[in-house]
Amino acid sequence: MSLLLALINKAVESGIIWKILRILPILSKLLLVISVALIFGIVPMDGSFRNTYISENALMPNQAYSQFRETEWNIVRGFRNEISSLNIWNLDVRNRIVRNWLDDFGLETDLFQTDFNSPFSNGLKSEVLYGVLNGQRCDGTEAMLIAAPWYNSENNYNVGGVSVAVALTKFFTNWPVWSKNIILVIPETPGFDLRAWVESYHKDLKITGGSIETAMILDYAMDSDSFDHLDVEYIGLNGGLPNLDMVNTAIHVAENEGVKVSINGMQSFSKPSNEFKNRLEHIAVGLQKMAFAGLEPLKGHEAFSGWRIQAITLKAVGHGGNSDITTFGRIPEAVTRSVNNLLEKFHQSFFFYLLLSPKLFVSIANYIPAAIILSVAYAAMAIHSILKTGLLTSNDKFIDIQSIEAFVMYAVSLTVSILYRQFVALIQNNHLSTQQQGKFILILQVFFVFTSYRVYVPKSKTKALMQAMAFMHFSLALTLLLALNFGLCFGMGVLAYPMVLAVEKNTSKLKQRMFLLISNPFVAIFLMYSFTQDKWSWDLFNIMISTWDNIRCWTWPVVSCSWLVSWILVVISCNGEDNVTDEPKRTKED
Amino acid sequence: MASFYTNGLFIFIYITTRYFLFPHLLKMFNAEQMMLQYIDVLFNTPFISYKTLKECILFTQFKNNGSNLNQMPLYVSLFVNIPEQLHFYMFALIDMLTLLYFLKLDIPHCVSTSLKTKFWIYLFNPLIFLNLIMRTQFVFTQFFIIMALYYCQNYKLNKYHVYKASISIAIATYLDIYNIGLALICLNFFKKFNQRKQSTICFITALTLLYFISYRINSNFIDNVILSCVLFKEQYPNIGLWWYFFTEMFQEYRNFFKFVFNGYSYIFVIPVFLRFKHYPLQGSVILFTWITMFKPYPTVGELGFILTAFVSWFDMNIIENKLIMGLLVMHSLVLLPVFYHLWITVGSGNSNFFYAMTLVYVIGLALVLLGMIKSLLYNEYISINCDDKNHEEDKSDKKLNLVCV
Repeated sequence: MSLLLALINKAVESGIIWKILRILPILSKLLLVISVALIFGIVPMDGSFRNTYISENALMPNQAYSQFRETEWNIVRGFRNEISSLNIWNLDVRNRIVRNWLDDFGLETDLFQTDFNSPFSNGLKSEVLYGVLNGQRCDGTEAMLIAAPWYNSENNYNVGGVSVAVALTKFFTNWPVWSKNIILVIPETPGFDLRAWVESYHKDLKITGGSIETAMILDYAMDSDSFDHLDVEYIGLNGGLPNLDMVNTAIHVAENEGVKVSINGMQSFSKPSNEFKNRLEHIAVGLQKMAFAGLEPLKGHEAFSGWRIQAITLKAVGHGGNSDITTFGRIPEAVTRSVNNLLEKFHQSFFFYLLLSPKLFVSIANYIPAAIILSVAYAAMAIHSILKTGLLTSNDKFIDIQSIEAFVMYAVSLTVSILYRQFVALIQNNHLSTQQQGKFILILQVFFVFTSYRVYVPKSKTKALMQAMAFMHFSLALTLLLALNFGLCFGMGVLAYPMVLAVEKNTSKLKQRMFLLISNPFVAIFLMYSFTQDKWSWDLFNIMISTWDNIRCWTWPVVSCSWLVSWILVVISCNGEDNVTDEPKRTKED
Repeated sequence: MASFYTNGLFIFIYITTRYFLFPHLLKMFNAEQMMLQYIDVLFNTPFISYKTLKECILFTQFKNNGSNLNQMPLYVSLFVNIPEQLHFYMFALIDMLTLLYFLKLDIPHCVSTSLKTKFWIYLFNPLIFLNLIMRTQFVFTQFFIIMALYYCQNYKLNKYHVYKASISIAIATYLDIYNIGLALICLNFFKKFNQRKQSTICFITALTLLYFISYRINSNFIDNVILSCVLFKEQYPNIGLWWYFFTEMFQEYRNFFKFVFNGYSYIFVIPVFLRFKHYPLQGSVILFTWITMFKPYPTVGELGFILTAFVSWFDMNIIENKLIMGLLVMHSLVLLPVFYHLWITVGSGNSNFFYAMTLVYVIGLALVLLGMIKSLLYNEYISINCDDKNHEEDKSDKKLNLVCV
């Protein structure tokens, strides 16, 4: 302790602290660079990642011989013929016919009606068919779930997925090994109605089968007998990831069956996994999917996040490859049998990871520093702004009209940001198409950036205080997010950084406004999203709000309660005159 | 005259926004569901939460034995007689009175906090406000502590003030047994032996009387409230340091460690009493902070009181590391509910995450405590060692020594 004290005294005497305080803006930029370099440079580098392994030994993937083979081949083909001929019928006819089959297998079945009535998804009605297969050795407290939507996320008729799911269920009924219930769910789409079913399962569903441990969504949207490779999607809503064991088991099983596996739609099996660029791409796509989870077309596994369910989507990609449709069935079979072995819950601390390839991962300790450093970068700017006010160094009164003004502005921008949703709902009612609404919101941001100085110009102390509050608010928001949703936290921190550049002293007016414009949450998210989707997606804001309303995806409230607040404060503070002199600091130096 | 009216208007606005508008808005936006459930673990323990209070009221009304009440019988019987819609206004009234006594408290001459500043500090403290919104018992405890400090300070004005002080500290002790050390510290206010004797006798009598009445109402409170609080019988996770130890510990060692932990939280009562003899006001806050750090069921509401007292009763110019202190406390307060949510709701984190944050929180609290002690000792050193001539010089010297990080 005394050594530490001596060190601190030494630091104070040598004036190094004052030197550090003076270069805080540079330090902040440096921290940003370090943070980005950490994620995109260090983490994909050799030595910071590990090979994946099964942490829970009871899972034993592929220890048992998979039985869903040629004997089932004709059954699958029969179901497939029937189901592909059902394509012309309505949902309720399809559901009724499949329900009859399930009843014949001995499942308890029911239909669940969903109905959305929020302003952002007008009156969506749907019906979900589900059935519970009671495990012979089971006490009814735990369940495994297999879902196959009628139409997949690209709106293709999921003929293979549904037929495999039905055939698998029939196949499962013949076995006496199940120590967990098996639930089969067939929704119309993998989006809102599946989520509504899950929500209802945990509230008031008629037939239930205990707490759902795992969920697999089968997506085989083609008529062909064989497929090229398997794609595993696993990133859930609000930064929730399934346990790494679940993903590992699926990948392990699939590779054992001789199927090529990709994750997140990255077809990287043609490239060697020891290539740096390959891993970098995986990390970038993984982070992007994490940040935009819920905004992109829903794959199905998103519906299960938030209830401690380990959910993945298995998607067969490509016509006519080496693997046939029963191979696709063997993968959920083997995973189900592995999970069936599980006596306890999935292992702790296997929930935070980034996958660099199907078989490589980084753990939380290696990538979380990037988010912390980002948060510190904003905190440094906040400290810099506080020092500019001179409150800490001089004995001025803290509370005067200027500081009260700053607090009032903070409260106002907070209120405005929270009420932004109501504002967007107002636009909604004015007979504009969703595209026009999106354009209108974007134009509004531009308008605000270039005209706000006509309304209110803060004094120098107010300005500095507002900046301090804005950056502190944002830093706290990033801290809050870093363990919840790393992708969103990192993306927000990087995309909002031009805000910091805008408050610098020697930027020209135009440059400053441009920085402010590109750091606007709506503009930045819109550009980033359009870039990743490869098309202008003007209806993004509607999607954000409707996902918040219907499936509790936090992206909208998080962005509007943290980024928007800080951004409004920074824009208003940038209007202020720049005659701040560093008087308190100068006296200090003397 | 004009200032009178502006003040009146101002107080009117203050009362309407704080006690009517904001709670109403929160209710309108369904804050209970949206937000307050996430910070529930910070503000509530089984012994002070409003939920258990409602439970107790129900038990006393419909099930007479009430053998598992977790709140003090007198506190419950106060609320039994108030209709449920008015409960919040009872808390609001107490909060208002707390503010009144807080403003009337004389602050030490070395600190130049004006009346207005004190008012703003209390008003803008989000922790105190959230504590009020949560309707925890600490609203009452805080009120009685501040009232006791006020009457102790002004015991010369009226001879009954000594009794009032002792009675209110007795009530604070009655509500939370861990405040018993404050009774000793408050003796430092009184200069004459006679008053000390009076105060002690009055305190003991009042406390005994309170316990006796409670015993007549419901004899189970000794087991359910006092002993389960002191012996940590309700093992819920909270922001204190105890629960994690006792989830890991074997049964045989528990009693020993309960003794050790309790001893640890009380160990500084006599040293603080002796060392800060001339600063009873600050001494009581220091002791309160220490006990909050190490008691079994601390809450963030207590931090609200500590920070308010810290900012208004201590010389902030002397305290260094203000920013580090602030950042540490703020970030731990943000991360505590997040990690609790990750552990309990989402299931992806575990208890270690939450416990690590409580450690950070306690470190922040320890920094606050160090700041308090340092400011006090520095002032004492100046007042003893420097006469008036050198005083000015010292002040400039003090400024130079500042490290504002």
